[in-house]
Amino acid sequence: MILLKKALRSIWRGKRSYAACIFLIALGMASNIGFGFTGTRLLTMMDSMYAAQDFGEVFATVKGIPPDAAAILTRLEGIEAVTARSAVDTRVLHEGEESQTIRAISWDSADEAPLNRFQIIEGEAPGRGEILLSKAFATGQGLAVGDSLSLLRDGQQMRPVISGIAIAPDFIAEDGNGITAGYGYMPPLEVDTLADNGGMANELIFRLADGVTFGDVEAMLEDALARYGLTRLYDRMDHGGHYSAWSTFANMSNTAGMISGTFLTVAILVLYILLRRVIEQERTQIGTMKAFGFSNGRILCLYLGYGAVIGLLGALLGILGGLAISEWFTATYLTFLSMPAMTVLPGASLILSTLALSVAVGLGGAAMGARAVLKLSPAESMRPPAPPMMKKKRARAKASFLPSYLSMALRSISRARFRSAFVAMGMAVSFAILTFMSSYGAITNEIVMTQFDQVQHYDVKLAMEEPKALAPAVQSAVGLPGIDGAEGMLELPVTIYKNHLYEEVALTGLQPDSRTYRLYDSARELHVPLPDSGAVISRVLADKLGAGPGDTLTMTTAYTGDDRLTLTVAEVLGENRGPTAYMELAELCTLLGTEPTVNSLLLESGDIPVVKEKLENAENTAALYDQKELRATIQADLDASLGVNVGIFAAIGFGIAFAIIVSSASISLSERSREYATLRVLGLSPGQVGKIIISEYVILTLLGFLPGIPMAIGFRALLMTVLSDDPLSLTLNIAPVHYLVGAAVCIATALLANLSSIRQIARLEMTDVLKERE
Amino acid sequence: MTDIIQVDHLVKEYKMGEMTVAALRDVSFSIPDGEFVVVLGPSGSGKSTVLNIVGGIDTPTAGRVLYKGEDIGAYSQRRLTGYRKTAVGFVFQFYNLIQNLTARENIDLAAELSPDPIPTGDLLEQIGLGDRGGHFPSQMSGGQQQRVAIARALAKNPDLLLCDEPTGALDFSTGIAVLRLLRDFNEAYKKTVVVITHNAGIAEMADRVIVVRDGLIAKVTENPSPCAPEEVVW
Repeated sequence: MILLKKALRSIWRGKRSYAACIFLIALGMASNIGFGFTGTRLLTMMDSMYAAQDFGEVFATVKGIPPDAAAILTRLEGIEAVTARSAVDTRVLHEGEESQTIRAISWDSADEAPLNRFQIIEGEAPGRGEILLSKAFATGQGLAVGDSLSLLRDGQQMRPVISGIAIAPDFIAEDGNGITAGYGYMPPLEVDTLADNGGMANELIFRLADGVTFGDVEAMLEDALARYGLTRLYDRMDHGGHYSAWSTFANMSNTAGMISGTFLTVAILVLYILLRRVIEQERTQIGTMKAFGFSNGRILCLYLGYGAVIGLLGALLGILGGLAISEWFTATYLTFLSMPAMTVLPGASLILSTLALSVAVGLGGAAMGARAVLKLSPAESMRPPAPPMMKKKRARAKASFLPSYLSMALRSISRARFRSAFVAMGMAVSFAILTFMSSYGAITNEIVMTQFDQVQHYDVKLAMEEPKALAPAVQSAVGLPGIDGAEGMLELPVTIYKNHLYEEVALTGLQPDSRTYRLYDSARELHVPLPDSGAVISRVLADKLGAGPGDTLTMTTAYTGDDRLTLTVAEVLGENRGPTAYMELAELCTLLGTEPTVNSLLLESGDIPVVKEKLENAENTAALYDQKELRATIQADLDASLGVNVGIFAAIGFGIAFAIIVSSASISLSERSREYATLRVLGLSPGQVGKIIISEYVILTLLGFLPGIPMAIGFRALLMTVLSDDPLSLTLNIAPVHYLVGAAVCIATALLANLSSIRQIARLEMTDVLKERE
Repeated sequence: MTDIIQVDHLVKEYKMGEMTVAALRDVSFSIPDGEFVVVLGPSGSGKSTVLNIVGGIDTPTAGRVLYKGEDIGAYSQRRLTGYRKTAVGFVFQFYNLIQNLTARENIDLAAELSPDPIPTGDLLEQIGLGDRGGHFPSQMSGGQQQRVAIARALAKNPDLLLCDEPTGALDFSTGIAVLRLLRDFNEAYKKTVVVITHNAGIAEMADRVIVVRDGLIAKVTENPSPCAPEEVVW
């Protein structure tokens, strides 16, 4: 009990150092719970929603199946329930605004228990002449119950009234931020009319019997659905909405592990250094206790108690902070997920495991630092430690040309080499994180600026419902009022092969010497002319396929079926998008066996509103993209999605740097208070003494930049690997400005963290400190 | 009177780089149970080394220390810890109190170790600090701290009290008060007290004086009529 009192009082005496350690553990635990528990509770909410709405396990799309034929699929072994429905993409006109699309899905009120049900959050289920809208779309477009919409498809037009707003597993990951495509449920007859499908369903949803997997029924369903024109058969994990939501939630656990691991590792090291210093300072006390008969084990337990108390306090703060973060994260995610909120309380296992992990971290760090207790013999520990041998002449010669405060700072660094190295490495990690995140935050500009300023020079892009011949399409466009110029583009989803490697990419056919779409090499920072023959492939695609200029590739497209078409790589383009390829339009069409054909027009216009008004209702218009609006939307989306990550990682970098410097400066202050008091007695002001300390940490911070630079590049390389399947790719280059940002924040942190040291120096009682025994 | 401690041809050498320094070269003496013994010698003579080895906090290079006939060198670490816990009490020149425990807590800390402790309250009264039990060492004078250190050593009710220069950091009158306390303990509890000192004046109050010089025993004298602590002069 008395030893516990001693431990608590010692912790209180060194509260500043221990607080930094508690802060690190708390941050680690808070991030662990903040991310991990958010992921768990969102997954729980998702599972709960799936159960309530009977979300399917297997999905199929077919060209057309009679509802009766679909119903009998339940006779297949392993299929417990099936729902057939019609779904069709339609254009939407809402108060004359720009084009949007809605996937109209049939909903049969007579079906008592369909799969993939929706949950109405406002209004009611759709009746005749009505539509039930997805929440995100309705919110994003400012639509309310009672409003009406114009749906257009292939000359068919309907004007249903919004009967209600709903959420459903089908569009769980639907994000309302700037959304232009949504979902709507309508009576079957009306969807059939829009789709002109003769009453045939084109989507099937299956629930499997207990214990049956997708693999068990896949071949059977392929056989059964082949006659209905099966185009896709997939399980829940390949369902776009589900995968998007699930992977987001599941990735939170990985993020939790990574962030908390970083903090806890640093906490262990800080605690190790703290306890080593405590053991050094209390060696006489340890010797006394040993002389009195306290065993090594009991004394070790005393110091392990420091770790346990710190771990416990860190855990308690971390749990409270983590739950608060989780509340905020969950609420934030729920604002852009189509999922109902529900209360998910943290389980006892989460709290206990957090406590256990935190105490284990505390004990681990303390054990590393306190094991010196075991080595100290009682008689030895009664004496002060022997000073290390120093090469005085060399040290003096090295420091003689420097100002005295810098010499003192350098000597302090060389006196506590391990701790100095630890501080320098901590600053290196912080610098690397801050530099990397600064460059990561600039990705939005990097991508948006390059794509919109260097590549896409058109004002409006018209996406066609049906491809058209190049010449008449361009001619009809340039004849319209407000259009100053037009070029055609053919965008094709293709699979490109090289030997056994293949990649699904967007192949773009461009007119030669295009003014409106100019290929740009970000790595070389120059425009690249489209070659007369052969394909230009992106660096990402080249790397994935192991292809280079002159190589022969093959490809398949939906237009040409399984036939392999041959193309030659003319050039590799260093652009910061994912796997892409470009060809001269005429050559591409020759390859496809058609006349020059386009499915998009790139328009130059000095009067965009007029052009949009004219083209919005045109027969073959699938979508219109206003470059300026698109740019603003993408910029906002990227800022929103990257902003949170940049903020979190910047806080991590700052937190690590701050905690390391505060704890280290605090240790240093307590060890060297006698030295500082002597300097004060000699006539130095607190500011002048502080200058020595700050110089020391600025030197260590600068030293940390050296390993920090390759670390930052390493982080970026890691991100490149993660993004390799995304439609974005990055170069390894980090602009100098980002290094400057990282350096400035680190140095500012060093100064900020040491302000408290200067205040403490000002408060040093010189007489008390100087009369203390060494 | 039986010997509580027998020191037999004790040698202690320290390695300092390539040099070997002999702190004790061949030391033998006995301490009878219940005596007040002074080990006298100048600084660096090896007297503290003797005390450390007798107290079981250091080990000899050669020779033996027998406690009630048992060689403590043959003790396991566990048993040696037990020896320090129950048989020996230490008093140091610079008190070595635990700075963040109060006077009472410092004494309680030692009392916790003993199966038969002397009550802390009694000890605080005996050392004249009954009203200062809640004070921390930094709030007490050197003499008061040394009295607390003695009370802490006594709290375990040890057979042997080993005091290393207990008056070395104190002024004359405070030193005398501390010596009185040690003598009282020796007489009241019939416990053996060994005082290490370079101060020849203190030898006058001892039952036995062992003089150490250059790592050897220079002389052992018995004092049939020791003076009272108050008569000691230095």
